[in-house]
Amino acid sequence: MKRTVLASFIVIVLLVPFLSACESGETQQFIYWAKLWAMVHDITDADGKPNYGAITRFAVGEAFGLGSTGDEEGDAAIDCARLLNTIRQAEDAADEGWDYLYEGRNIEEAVLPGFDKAIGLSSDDWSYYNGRAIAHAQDIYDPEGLRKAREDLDKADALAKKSGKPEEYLRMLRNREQGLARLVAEKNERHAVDLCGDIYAMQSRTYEELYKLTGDNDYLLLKQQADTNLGLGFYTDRIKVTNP
Amino acid sequence: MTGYWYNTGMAEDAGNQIESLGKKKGFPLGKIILLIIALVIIAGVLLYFRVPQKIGLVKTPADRLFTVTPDREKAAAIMEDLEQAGFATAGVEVYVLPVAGTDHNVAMIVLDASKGLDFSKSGSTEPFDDFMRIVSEAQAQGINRAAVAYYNEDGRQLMAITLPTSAAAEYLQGKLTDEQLMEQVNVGTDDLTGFIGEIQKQL
Repeated sequence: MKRTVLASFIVIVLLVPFLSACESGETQQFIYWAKLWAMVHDITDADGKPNYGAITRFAVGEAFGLGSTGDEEGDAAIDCARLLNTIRQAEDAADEGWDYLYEGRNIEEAVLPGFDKAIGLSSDDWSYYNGRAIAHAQDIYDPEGLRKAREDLDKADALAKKSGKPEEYLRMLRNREQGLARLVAEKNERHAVDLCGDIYAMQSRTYEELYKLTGDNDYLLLKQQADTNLGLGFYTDRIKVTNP
Repeated sequence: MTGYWYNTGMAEDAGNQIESLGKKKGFPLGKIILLIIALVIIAGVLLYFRVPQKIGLVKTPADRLFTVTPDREKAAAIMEDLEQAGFATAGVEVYVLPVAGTDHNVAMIVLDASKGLDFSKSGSTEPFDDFMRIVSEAQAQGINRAAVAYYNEDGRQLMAITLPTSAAAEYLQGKLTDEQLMEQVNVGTDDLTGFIGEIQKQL
């Protein structure tokens, strides 16, 4: 019964005969709100009797996508089903990419398809380019990995700057930093020896930029740590193509 | 000229042609009405299935306003608030969508029964008040509107409810009555028949 509470706000009044049977226990409060909502929006009168004219207008408006809340953001929040589905699918695909990356699965076969799919669904989302850039940078078997990573980093930068909001760019850098830090942590935890040196280099540049933008000394320390790891050689080299 | 037409018999042909053309140019009112009815039906069907939006001819309000990357940091903070309030978060997702060209943000809280949503597992004793408090506090993060989108066990979005976060704050401060709060709550569905069916099933 509890699930009815969320789906009871409007069309429930079409089922008025059932309401009395439901007005008990834990759903009582929600039935109260649903009835009140229906009343203030003229779906029912004060006695709970349905206003069939208003119900028809609402139903027709909703069915044809003509309903309006009178507020553009309200309309967008209501009419977001398609967009939300796209975001959710993209998010699931990217999550799969991240999981496989952290698990150390094959980059080309397992990791990249997730990020590619996410980008295909939501091409303006910089976080997916960050993810794919890190995956390319980590792909020691791809001699072109670093170039591909740079292209994706540039794309993420451009998308974040497009918003015109400095905090958006900062958010994008933090997202990149978190992805890199998590990868390094996962590799350390698994005692994996295949962390590509380009990851530390990318980490160092990201921390440096974050430090310059925020003045936060923690980022400076983290940059120094990344540089130290790079200097000590705690990484695997990218496999290079040798010309015959 | 007349003699020429007459002599060659073409004048008669021309007269017949003009007559037939005149008939073709008549006003087939019945056909026009049928055509209009057919067009109205086709337009109705296209609108009902939201074909213009699906093929990108018409942008929905969501497509126009939510064009930038969701704010995952703010979403994580709201999710944490929900967990701390005792809400069971299986099947719950939060997306904070920045509104293009403004500092506004809309928090979309997805409740998905197909992903394990189960209200009976909620530890919140006052779910309505707790939810209103979380929505109200989201204002501090620049979130000016919250919405709840409900998905059924088949993973179809059945409805969305939305309210301004300022309304939640004013309600908690006692500045709004229950009625005034409900005036600011809006409900919509992309699947009216599915929505009705869900309620009938639950009742």
